[in-house]
Amino acid sequence: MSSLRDQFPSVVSGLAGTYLDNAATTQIAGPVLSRMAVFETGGRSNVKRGIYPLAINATEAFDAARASVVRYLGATDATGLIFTSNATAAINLVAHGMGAGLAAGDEIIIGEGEHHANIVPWQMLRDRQGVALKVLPVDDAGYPMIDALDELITPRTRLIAVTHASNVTGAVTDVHALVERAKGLAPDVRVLVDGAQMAPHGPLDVSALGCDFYVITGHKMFGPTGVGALWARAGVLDGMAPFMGGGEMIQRVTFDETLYAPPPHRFEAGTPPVTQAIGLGAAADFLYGQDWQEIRTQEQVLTGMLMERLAKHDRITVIGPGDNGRRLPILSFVVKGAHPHDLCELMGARNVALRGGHHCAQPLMDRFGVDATTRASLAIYTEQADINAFADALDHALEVLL
Amino acid sequence: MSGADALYDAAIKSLAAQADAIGPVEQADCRHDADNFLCGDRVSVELALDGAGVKDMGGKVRGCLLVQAAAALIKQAAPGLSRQEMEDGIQQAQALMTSGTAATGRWEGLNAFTPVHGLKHRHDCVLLPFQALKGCLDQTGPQDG
Repeated sequence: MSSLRDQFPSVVSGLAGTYLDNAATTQIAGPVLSRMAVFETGGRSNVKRGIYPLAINATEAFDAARASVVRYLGATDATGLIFTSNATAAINLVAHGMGAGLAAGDEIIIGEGEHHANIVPWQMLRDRQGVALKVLPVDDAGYPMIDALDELITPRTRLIAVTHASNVTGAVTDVHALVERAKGLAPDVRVLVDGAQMAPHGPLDVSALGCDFYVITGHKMFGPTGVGALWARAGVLDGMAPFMGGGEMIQRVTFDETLYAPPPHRFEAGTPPVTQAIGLGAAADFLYGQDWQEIRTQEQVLTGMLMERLAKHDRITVIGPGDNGRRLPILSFVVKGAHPHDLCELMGARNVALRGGHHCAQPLMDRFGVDATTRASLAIYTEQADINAFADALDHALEVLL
Repeated sequence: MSGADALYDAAIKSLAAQADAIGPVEQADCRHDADNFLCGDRVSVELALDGAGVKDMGGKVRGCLLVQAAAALIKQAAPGLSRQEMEDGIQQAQALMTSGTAATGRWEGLNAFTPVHGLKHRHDCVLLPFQALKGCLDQTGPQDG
């Protein structure tokens, strides 16, 4: 595992400290930095326009990045992969593109455990077009209650939007079962999966999941900020209206009308984030080449250690799965008598990076009856020393606060 | 003691412990909620006014230790203060956070928050109750005092 850690300059240098805020942003991988640097220092040009060698090479690098992301997602068709600025933008793209075809009274089901990014765009669509929103509840461990779909889905249900894994609890949604149940009840219903948290934790296979849309973001999967992607199953994008207009997304423009380009370009108005997309491709290649069985075992061991250290304190309650089963190494907890920000302040001063707050998931906070939690989120470079540093800093913070 | 540890000294912890006593005010003349959108903390301030001055301050405090301590300080200082003196407290709190200017007079207790001055990311915690207080005062309109 040490060679893997060595591939993260900010981790190896120690500058990132005990970095346990990976659910917010991961550290960037060396191979990602290298590929972006190569492009910026010797291959920079716009794409899909020029016919000089630099531009041709840039376009090839950009197309290769798209293919890399498609491969990591377990998809086959590159026309279904749209570069966006992040996962939020990808969800908004669907809310506008697919939403344009919805009518008042159509229904969208969103998960109770969603990040605000997978709630607010649908509320905005509701406000624009009068669609109805329903909520798929989560159980006491934070898992979506798939059985509830039997009651929620009606002939007017058009889309279900759920996370693949919670950014608060780490609970992993059984997407395959959810899709199977949903499409069994309503074959034409679309399922959008927010894969932002799942992407850095293992091989993805959107084909096997059976979903229609899958969104990811670069900065949570060891890639750059400012880039993400929307993947859509073949055919799903064909009838979808573009979100933004401009260059790149057209076939022909006159003052009377504009003919749009086919997907994915129809949804990539303007010059794309070329360098960032190349970085995202590099991150996808980096992830694709990992030994995930070994990484998963290591993550489970460290998560188990973390849970043990938390269990030592009787004032601490873990929010989410109480076991180490179908979960990511993301752990949220509350301490009776200590606010998450105070904990994070004191632990941050000891160079332990955590996140305290509602994690952009206030409805989930309401579900668990808390205002905020403290969250530790691990990544492939986390090691036992990090857990020990966390535990020592936690002991100190509790001593100061309580 | 690290800078962060200094935040949680006895004075601030003791103030924060008093936030438990903050509850609804009977016949409040104004009420305002202030939210910290980053963390979800919320302070509701209610004021009961008596002529030109404050009779009682109450409300609800949901926040970190600094939020609680700042709210408790207002609760402690408010009774008997005029609207102008309350506005002065808001300005002194802001000045302490932004420039480290020591508080004086009836708001001298604010100086317990001096260690926060160097931690810009926590200024909003101290100022959240004052933000709620300002919203509350604004509802009552300018008065003599």
